[in-house]
Amino acid sequence: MKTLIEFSLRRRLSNPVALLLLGFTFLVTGALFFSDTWISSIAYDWVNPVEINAPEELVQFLEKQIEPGYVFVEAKEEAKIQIQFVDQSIEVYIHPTLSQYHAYQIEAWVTQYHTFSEIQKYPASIQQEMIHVMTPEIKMTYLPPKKDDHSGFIFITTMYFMMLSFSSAMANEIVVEKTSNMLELILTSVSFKAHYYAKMFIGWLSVILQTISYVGIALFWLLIRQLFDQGRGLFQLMYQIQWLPVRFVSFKEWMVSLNISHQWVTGLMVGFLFLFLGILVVQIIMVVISIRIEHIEEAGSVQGPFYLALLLIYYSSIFLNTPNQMNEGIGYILSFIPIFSMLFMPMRFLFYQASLVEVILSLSLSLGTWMIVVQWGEQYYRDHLIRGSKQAKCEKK
Amino acid sequence: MLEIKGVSKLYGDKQGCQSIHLNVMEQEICGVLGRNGSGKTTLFRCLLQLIPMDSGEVTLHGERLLLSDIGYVPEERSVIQDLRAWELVVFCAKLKNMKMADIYREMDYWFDKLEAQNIRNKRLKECSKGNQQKIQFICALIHKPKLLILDEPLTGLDVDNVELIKKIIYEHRKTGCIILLSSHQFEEIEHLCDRVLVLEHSIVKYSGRIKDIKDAHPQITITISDDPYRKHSDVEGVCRVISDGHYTKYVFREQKLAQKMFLSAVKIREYETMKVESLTLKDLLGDIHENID
Repeated sequence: MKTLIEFSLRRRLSNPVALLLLGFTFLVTGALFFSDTWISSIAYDWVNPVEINAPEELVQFLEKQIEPGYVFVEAKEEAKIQIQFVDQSIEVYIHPTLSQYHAYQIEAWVTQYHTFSEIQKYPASIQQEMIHVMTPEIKMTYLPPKKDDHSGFIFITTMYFMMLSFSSAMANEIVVEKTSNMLELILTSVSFKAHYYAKMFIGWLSVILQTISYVGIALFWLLIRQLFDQGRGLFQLMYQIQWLPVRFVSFKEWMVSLNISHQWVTGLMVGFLFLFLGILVVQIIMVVISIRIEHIEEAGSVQGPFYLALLLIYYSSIFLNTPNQMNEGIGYILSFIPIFSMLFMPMRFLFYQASLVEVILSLSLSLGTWMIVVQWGEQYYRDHLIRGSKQAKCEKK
Repeated sequence: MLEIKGVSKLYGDKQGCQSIHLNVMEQEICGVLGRNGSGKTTLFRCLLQLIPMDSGEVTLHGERLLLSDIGYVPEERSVIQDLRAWELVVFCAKLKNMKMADIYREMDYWFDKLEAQNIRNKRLKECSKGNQQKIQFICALIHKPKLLILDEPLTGLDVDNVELIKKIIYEHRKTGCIILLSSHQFEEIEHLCDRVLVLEHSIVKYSGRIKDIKDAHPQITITISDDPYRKHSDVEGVCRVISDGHYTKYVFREQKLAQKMFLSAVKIREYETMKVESLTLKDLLGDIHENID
């Protein structure tokens, strides 16, 4: 069994295409983590604030209200916007690469400065009245972001599709072994049982190893970026292009802001357990289907409808994602039915309400189903893998 | 000794094999012969424990036959096309629990022996059928099996490779290995086999040593080329005439009469080829089949 697992994993993970993909992922991840560096070389303004050179009094006036995308500089040659007081007027020079938006922004600020500086010339007794007349009192309130944090569900659905692809890969491996007649040769060395469980382990290990590879790549670049500038430049870019509402200065600060609680992590892990059990059942069913396939051409036509059924589960979990459905409707019922529960129950306890008893009951049902399916799958595998293999002795030495 | 005692395996449609009894000694090659669908592959699959026997028992040297004792070359090409030749051999050897040091040593030996060093690093999809068959042989032999099962091993090979594989099979029995090989072409394996098991419609038609069959059928044949009209069929002593294209084979039971016919035929010979031989396995078994039928 160990040989089968090693052989299959090596073929899966260290073939030229897989290595190429891994290398590509490594480069793309690196490029993403250092996107501010290379984007600034081709689109400087996306990443860097616009430099303004202005008289001292204007700088003092605007310093407290200037937006994060702008910065004052002393050297005129470095500035993309130059503001000069000439006699009674104000002259503004704007670099041609800047947009009209910048012009409007500067115009608003300069107008504001002019208004206030002119008001200062009047007696103090009427200054307040003039301010009241000339400037409307606008109270700007930013609405709080929607409280539903779906990051946990995003993680689970990502794993859902990833694991589905691996369970199909394993089923295809059996089809290839059958069609290339290698199956017969392998089964003259290992038992049906060993072959069956080897295929199961290969599926699970593939998911784990692949996940470790990609997480490892991400962590590697995270570490490099941490050593480089603690992520400051990256967060600047994300803030600049409005991906983040707040400008963080380090990964640590960002992590703290996520406010990850033990409860959230526990919920995610339990959700992952549901998902894993569900996918294992799916994996066995796909293997069982695959052993009836005689030709590679059949594989697509048989597995296709199966994928549609799994997509149906996924989309139904999206459509039924309402408090009513999840707390007492169809979603509630489906959260106890194995296979469906891998998505419905995590949704319930992550975003709605589910008691501990309900979670344990659903988990027990999933676990029980998985154990029954494993036993039944082994028997079916032994009976149908090779024509006439029904009742073949499982134990071989 | 390999002992097959009353092995039966029938499929729903009455295909398979019934009540097979066979004893094969060490260093013997046993041909399992029969037409397509006669039950040869079913018998092999039972021995390989791929399918369960309905009844019967198989022992090797008095003990239960273990998979690790068996080397197997299937009828169909069973290779993973994108693997290199040596990778497939290592995979098969590791499945038989061999250690890497032993694998590399044996691999060197067998690649040399089978004149396959030039394809060692080639991908199997780049290899000819003959070369793929050589790799399958290496996979079957590398762990030094006590029982070698070869299902139609010579099918699809060119003349040179047929001779090479025959030579390897013949030499390998000297290691003490028991060899079972199947074929539906009797003449291909006649020179290799010590004994035969003939199957027809899933039952044993004949089982025994080739020498015993020939002793029981002391017949002589004279084959003459370019004789489509059977010119000598009325000659005294001819008990059977077999046509094979432009060749005609005259079967005699008495050696003296065969010699007489041969001498008279030589006298009038123009350009024909003439061959005198004992009855071939193909003819003998054909004869046995006819008698039984």
